[in-house]
Amino acid sequence: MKYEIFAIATLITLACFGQQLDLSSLDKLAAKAKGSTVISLDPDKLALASSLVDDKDSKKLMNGIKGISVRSFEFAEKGAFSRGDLDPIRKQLTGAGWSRAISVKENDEDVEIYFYKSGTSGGLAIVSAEPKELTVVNIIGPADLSSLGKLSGLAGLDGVQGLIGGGSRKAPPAPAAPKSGSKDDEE
Amino acid sequence: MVRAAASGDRDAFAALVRQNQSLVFGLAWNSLRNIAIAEELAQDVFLELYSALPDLESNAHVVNWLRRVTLHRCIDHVRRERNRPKVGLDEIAEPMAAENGSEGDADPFLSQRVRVLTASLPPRARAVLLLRYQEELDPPEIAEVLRIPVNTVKSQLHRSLALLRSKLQRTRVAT
Amino acid sequence: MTEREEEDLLRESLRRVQPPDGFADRVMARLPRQPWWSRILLPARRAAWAPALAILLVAFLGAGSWEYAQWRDRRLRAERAHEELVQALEITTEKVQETKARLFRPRPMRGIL
Repeated sequence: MKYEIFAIATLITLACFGQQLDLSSLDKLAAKAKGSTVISLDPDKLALASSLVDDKDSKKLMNGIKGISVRSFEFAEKGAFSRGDLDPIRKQLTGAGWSRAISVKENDEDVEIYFYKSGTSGGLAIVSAEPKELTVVNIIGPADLSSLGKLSGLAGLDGVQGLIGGGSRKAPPAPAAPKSGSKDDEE
Repeated sequence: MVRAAASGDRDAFAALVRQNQSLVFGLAWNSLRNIAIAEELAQDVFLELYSALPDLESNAHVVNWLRRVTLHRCIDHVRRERNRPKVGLDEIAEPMAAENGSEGDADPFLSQRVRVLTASLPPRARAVLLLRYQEELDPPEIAEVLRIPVNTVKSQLHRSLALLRSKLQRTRVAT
Repeated sequence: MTEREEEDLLRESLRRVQPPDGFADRVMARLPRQPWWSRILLPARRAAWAPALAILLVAFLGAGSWEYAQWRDRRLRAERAHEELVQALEITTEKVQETKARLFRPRPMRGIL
């Protein structure tokens, strides 16, 4: 019982932070998907994961992350989900502190990257919709978003620094959202 | 043989090594594409096996254990070194290529491309692909070895194959 | 290439590989030397008093094994959390890289006339 109260309190506390998105509206899509990835890492799980990290810098970066949520679904056929399924997510992303930094629409594929900034709190959201794949990522913290780029080194991958900033390559200014009907926009 | 090796019979352990060395070295080599590092890693895995043998009951346990530990070590190595080979038409030289698995390839160039591209995948995706095609495991078996959900295995495979396909396609167009 | 040909190519390219000659000998050379007591205890497995000794040892180690089980459970949970973290970062990086590729893809020049 004590554990349940603690868990609920943790969830409520997290929900009070504007950078935490509620992705549960997407969970119904798992039943239609041929493959799904559902990840919810709260501060406790992140602390456990951090205990296996030897590198001091990575450990310090991980301390700045308060939560990570991923919903990624792959479907056998097009049309398994509608753009409307993302409306509850996009509505949250119009809340205070959120701003859309990047929007790329190409053919049937949309990717949007949002940043959250309020005081010392930070966050990131990625919403990606393709004909047969839907992915939403929400990362709470770090306040310094370039740290995310450094953290991806933990996965042995090229960093996101070039896009988010804080790396050796300067990120380009976010392009304006393309006008409807036009595929390409010149910078 | 496993029980004999576990109780200290060194000849039995040597036989276990010979029986499984191509599995362990193969995973390391296909992951890391460096013979010296692959051999060192493979040796370390067998040394660890020597200590872990009392906990293993059968040959099947040993084989699964070797797969798991080898791939975790490869994943850790890549993350430590952050040394993913760049994908490109300039190939990484393969010393002793003839002795290390490329003899008998129907199309050696294409096979080498596949190996290089595989080694450039993210560490865990690489592990999934190797368990599927080197060890010929099904997704549930792969999930058990790597201790990840089956759906994760399936989506990793799907992404990796799509990526390899598109990069191989570009190779064929370029050549 | 058909799916079957693709699968065959992958199996052929990624098959098991023998290590350089002498690998097993090099492994054996690195094994720790057998401690002197193993020459006594190993034969003792067949001795009549071995089961009684084993029971005593198990009782003595009982308390320690509970703590070990706790540690092991925490370790497993940590490994799972670590795997999920890495997977989340992989997916994030993949999406960002795809976005970069689209943003920086060279666009065809629009004609002036």
